[in-house]
Amino acid sequence: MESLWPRVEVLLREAGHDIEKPTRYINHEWGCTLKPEAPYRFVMTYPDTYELGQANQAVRILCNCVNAVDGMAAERAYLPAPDMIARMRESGLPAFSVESCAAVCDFQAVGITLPHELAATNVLEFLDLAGIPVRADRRAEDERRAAAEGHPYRYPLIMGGGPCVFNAEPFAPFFDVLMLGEGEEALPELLRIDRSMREQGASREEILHRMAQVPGTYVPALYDVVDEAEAQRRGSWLVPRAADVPAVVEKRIWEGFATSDAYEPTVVPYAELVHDRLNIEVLRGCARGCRFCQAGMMYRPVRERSADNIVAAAVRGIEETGYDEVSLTSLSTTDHSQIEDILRRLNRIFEGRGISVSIPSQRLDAFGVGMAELVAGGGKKGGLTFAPEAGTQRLRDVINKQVTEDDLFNAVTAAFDAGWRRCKLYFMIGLPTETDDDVRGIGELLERTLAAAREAVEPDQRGAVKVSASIGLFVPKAATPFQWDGQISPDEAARRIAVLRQSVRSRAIDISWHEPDVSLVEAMMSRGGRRIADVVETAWRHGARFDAWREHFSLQAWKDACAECGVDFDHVAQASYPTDYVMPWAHLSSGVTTRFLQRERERAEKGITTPDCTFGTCSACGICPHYGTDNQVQEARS
Amino acid sequence: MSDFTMRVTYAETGRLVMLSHLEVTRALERTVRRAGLPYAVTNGFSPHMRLSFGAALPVGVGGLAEVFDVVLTEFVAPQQALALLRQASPADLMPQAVRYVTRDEKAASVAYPFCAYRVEFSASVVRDGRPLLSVPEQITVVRKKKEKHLEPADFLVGRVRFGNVGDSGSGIGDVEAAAPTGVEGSAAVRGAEAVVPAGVRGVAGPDGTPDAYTAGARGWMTCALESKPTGSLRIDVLVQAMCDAAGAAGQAIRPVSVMRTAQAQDAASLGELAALATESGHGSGRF
Repeated sequence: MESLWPRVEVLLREAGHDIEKPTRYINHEWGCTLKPEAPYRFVMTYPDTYELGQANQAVRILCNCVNAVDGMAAERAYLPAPDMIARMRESGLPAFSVESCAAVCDFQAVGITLPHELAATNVLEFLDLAGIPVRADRRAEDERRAAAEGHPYRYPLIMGGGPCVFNAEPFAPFFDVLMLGEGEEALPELLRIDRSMREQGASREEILHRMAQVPGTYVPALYDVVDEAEAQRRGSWLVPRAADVPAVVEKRIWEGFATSDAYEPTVVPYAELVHDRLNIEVLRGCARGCRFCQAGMMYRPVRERSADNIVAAAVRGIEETGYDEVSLTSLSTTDHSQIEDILRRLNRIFEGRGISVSIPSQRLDAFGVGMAELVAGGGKKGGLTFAPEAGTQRLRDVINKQVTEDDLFNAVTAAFDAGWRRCKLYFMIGLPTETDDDVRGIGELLERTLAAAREAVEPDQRGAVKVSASIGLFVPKAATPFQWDGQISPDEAARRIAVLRQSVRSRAIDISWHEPDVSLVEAMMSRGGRRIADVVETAWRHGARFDAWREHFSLQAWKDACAECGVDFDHVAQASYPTDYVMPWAHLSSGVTTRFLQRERERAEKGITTPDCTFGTCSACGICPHYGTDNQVQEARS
Repeated sequence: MSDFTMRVTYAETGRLVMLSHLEVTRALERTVRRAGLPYAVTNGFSPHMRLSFGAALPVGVGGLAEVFDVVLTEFVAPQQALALLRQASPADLMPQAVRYVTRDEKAASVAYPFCAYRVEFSASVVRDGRPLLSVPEQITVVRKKKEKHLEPADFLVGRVRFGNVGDSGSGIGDVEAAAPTGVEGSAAVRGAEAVVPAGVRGVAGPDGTPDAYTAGARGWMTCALESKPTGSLRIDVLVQAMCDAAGAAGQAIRPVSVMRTAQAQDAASLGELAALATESGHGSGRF
């Protein structure tokens, strides 16, 4: 494939300082994999700029998986920043990959990870910049014509995966294939099918039909969208067009995770990233069952890697990359049954070398004196973050976030005793059943936390103690017990924030609340069906992109797009439904049964908690019997 | 406990000339760690590697003889240290030489205020025996929101030479600033281990290996700048001003490669070292 580098170089040189951070577009990073001879080529994309996308683990893992296949090569691609996009469009330069600077449209397949709803317009921007029509049906039409003229496979296969696939409909018409769940096995499987069927001269339709047989694969073109009445009657908004296409697509679980090597080849970027360190995934899945959390439902069952595996991977990773920080990543790292042992061993190994070990966030109820010392042992102390999410015990029970005030104060005391001086607490407003008392409870809890923190430090240090709170607006997510609940209106949110601010007296407490505009669009996208795809395309055609960037996001653009498409923005985000209502993602399954979600919603209403099945009894979410699998923990969790 | 301060000379070439100084420092730190060298860390709360760097290169400017210092806890033979560093380095950020510095030597950032540059251009810069580019009398830069007027003559050392790629000869000198001119001829510089001529205090890059990237460059310029306590004139600023002036006069000339080829303690040493950067091209900032 031709390298577009000479043209990129000319752009960068000519633009000079007008193009920011040219490092985004050069490659040759340490650790990148080059397989120039491999005939089958796949490009994996994170739909944002290099510095946001390079840290993404899905891109890293899946590129490694595909590169491990004989005859296949995987490269990365990111969306250029707006200043570069403008120049590229002016000079007719299409989107290019990182490793070989080849045009994205020349690859056999393009994989796009969908990390959050606001990435939607960037997905379209990326496809368009690559010279690929954004709609799958338009691509199919072009390909049929081209195939008739003897040029099949005019465009790459466009594949998507990641968290948003659990409510895929707003994205569905833009993708040929959507992958549900873990892609380590599924992706190479699908690419092998594509490769061998291309060799046999199969049509794109035949290839997609075959792919739909692979578990965890949703091919939107093979389904019809029905109207609401029909959907409620049938139990699904999407109906397969053929008997051998599944009515419900079930997510893939990678059974080999726990025993696989925790070491993943890593690219070491030159550019400064948002988070730039060696990542070791220590476990997958979380069974705490917080009822607002989509990740907790999506990644079950819980699977831990062993301490030996993790420690060896960290040591090898530091040697090969030269990073000065290791991050032990997962949804809830402190829940790992061997976490204290792991931290102790790593602290000993890295002592005196200026290398620190970090944990993305800590569970309040797992963070005691022991943990405080182990995490501090790395030698670096920034602020600690915890997420109580709700201000009163009642509401915490409703959302099944089983931490008590005592847990919070013990954690804070242990932390400040061990030398921390700042802590940040995350809360949400707009949770189901929330009252003003709950909102005031946040302020009161913050005051009590500040008092506990100050108690734990020397009198002369008390001035340095800082407690801050970050408040988010609750967004109901698919595949959670709260999926039927609507978001509260922006006016109501503003009113509750005013109540919250009034309940905080001390000036040492900082409350961070941003205009929830972004959360409103998130809610609309996370609850909406196929019609929202039209809204996404309309918004994009009117210039919406980089919606996750404050300076580019425009709520009005989205409202206008909804109006133009005849979609009631507020209704989609705010409507609440009974739990027997069939939602637009009923054809996509995380393995957790709807019955379980309904039961959890009922228990939430009554404020009854459900225990974590890795600590206690099975809560019958349905996933283990259905997949013939189980949680895999290294030692008993306590 | 004794420290050993090692000064590493490295080249920043190819696409990596687009890295900012901070990005380069981060990359070098990781290289040292990958090399497995016994680096010393600072005391205190947040221990980190003890690195110090030479004068920064602007984004887009490369260097053949850049320096950084790293403090080691043990002595490692220079040959071995260099080999370990090279194994752990990307091709375009490649260590060339290694030596231990003594306490009486100046810090890397201030040791070599005299710098030689080679710039390559998209178009010919000499026609009918006359240069198409000239050094402006004054350049206006904005520093800390204030305009400052710099006179290139204050910073230029020796002659500014121009030539067209492919012409033989040593080019045409234009501006005569301070008296000493470059020494003709070349001193021996080998690939992996730079051997600097005796008595010369400075560092120079590897000798010319014709570079694929240089193809496409049509004109070249060499010059030397001194950075002064009161400030410096950046090479890219000077080149931009020269090209802008040519553009205003109807000549479309733009730089395709800007490289710092040598750094030295004083002008005389620089003269000797700068002669090592032959006119037939060497590691390039054309990426």
